[in-house]
Amino acid sequence: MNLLVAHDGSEQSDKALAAAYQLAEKLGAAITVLTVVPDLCLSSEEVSINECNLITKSLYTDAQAALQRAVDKGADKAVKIEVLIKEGHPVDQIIAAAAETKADFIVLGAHGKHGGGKYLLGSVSSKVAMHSNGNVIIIK
Amino acid sequence: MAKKKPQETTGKGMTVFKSDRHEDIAAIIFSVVVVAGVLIYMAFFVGTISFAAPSDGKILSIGVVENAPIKTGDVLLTMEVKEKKLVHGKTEEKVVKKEIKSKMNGTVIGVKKAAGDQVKKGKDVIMVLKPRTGTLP
Amino acid sequence: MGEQSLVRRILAIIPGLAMMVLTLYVLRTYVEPWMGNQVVLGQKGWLVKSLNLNYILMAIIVGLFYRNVLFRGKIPGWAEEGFRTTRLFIKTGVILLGSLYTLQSLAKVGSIAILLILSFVFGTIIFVMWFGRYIGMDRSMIGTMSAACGVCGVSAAIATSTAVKAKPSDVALALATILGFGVLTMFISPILGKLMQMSDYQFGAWVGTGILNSGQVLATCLAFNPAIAPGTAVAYGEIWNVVRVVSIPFVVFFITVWFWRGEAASEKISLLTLLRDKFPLFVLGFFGMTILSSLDLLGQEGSHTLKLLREVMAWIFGIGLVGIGAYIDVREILAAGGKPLKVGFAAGFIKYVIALAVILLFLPKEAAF
Repeated sequence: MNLLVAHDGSEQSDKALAAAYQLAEKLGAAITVLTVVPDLCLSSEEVSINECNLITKSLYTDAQAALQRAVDKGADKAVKIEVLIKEGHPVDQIIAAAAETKADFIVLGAHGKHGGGKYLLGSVSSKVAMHSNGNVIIIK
Repeated sequence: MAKKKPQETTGKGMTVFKSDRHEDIAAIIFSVVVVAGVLIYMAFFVGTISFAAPSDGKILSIGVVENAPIKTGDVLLTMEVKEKKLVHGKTEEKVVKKEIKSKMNGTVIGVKKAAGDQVKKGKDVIMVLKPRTGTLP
Repeated sequence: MGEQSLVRRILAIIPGLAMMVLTLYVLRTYVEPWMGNQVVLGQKGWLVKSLNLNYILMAIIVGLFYRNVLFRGKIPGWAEEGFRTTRLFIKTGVILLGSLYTLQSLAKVGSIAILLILSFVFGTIIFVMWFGRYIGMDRSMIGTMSAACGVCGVSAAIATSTAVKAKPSDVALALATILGFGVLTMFISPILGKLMQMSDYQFGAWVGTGILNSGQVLATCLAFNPAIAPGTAVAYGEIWNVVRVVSIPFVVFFITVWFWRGEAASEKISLLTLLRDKFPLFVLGFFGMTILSSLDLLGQEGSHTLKLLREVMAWIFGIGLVGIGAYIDVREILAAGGKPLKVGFAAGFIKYVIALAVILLFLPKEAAF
């Protein structure tokens, strides 16, 4: 059994990860922790190649550090943990990653760190719940 | 309790220019090519040029005849146009007589309009000119 | 990654580039004339005249459509490289715009531009620094946002963020904010400008005063007046834009010094390095064109040569504009939020309105040339 946990560095996603660890232990499942990094290179024509590489590198470094911290938290559990970084829109990439890792459940927090967007569009979690073909567990 | 290293950064793939500087230089080269292309085409390769009305108005007189040579500064025609001027913050319209002078050296191939014709800016062709090769029309 | 051969790179750009060129061709040859003939609300060509829906805005809208509807928010791999050439086209277009000026006219309009721009750039920076502190943003973010809003540039924001050690994900939010605001103003400004009967000079100055980034300044000015000639909106707007772009290294330096409170600043950054790295080289091409034009090498005003050159320029811009539209990711912009959004919108809106007031009050309708 596979769980895909979406993590964006927010407190809520930490809670989601903790819950996922508990579930995984009970179910004997493996976990993939996923962070989605925005693709800024095509966000504006003003972003030059140098800047694009610079930003991508720092985004990845940040993401890797955050993932490492998250993984370390689960180090004492008898759970198989893998990490994954994807680039693009959170909703699309979470669903894609779920298919890739053949996840049985997607686990995510009720809301993350995105601000105003949640009032305009609804949060990532509700969109994932809406569009995903598989099961979604939302941690509050 | 296996832990795997996070995936390596996926490279940004292929980009045409290696850096911003390269892009700037390419843009400069591109512009030079464009300018050179336009200049060379206009000086040597353009055949005939249709001279359209430079503004709306009425033709008062045509200053050239077919097959006649023309030089820069020669009066091609005179027109009556309405000119808008800003006088003390108000837009005033005045009817003026304008002399349309040639900006190139060459020959008149054909005259399409006559005195008294009303013409529209950019739409009505007044005459067809052939520039002298090697000069910029 | 590795080195790719020149041939492979050229092949990679063809699909996306062809798409942009074809789009522009269809727009200019078929769609715009058709729209000019439609009778809406009793007026022929109302669509083009009142809504400013000339090929400029349509190119952007189609680009927007490609990115957000057709491709669902992500440009596909086969088109990516081609769309990236947008930058090349915009830069080339700007360089060619140098031909609209002579050294004298540039000097005359340029001095006013420098004064206006510098006061607005630094005024905004100071505002953002105050407002950011007022609502409790952290210092790195303040530094980045002030660069972003002051110069209204993605480049400025990124350059500053590394110097002040801001978090890249926060920079991403800042970018989205600026872009979102810029897109809005891009469509609204021409309508406002026409309503207030602004002259080309006033409109160019307003738009160029750091409200939008390079591509957007061009697009907005051309939307207001599609003619490319001395004395048109794009001619004035571009001077303002060039001054703004040249000020970027100086702005980054200023903010870096502020952030490190002067002490360790010399270790972190030097103005010379900044100038060497960040000075937009293509601006030199711009001045080169102005010199050519001053020497009358490009044909006299009104000549067919200049007409052809400007027609070519319109095409180059048009292609670039499709790309600009395609670079706008609506979802990404809407997803941004929090403090950067508030500060960005506040600064952008205030700057927009104040620039408008200053220009209407102090700038005459006619310029020096």
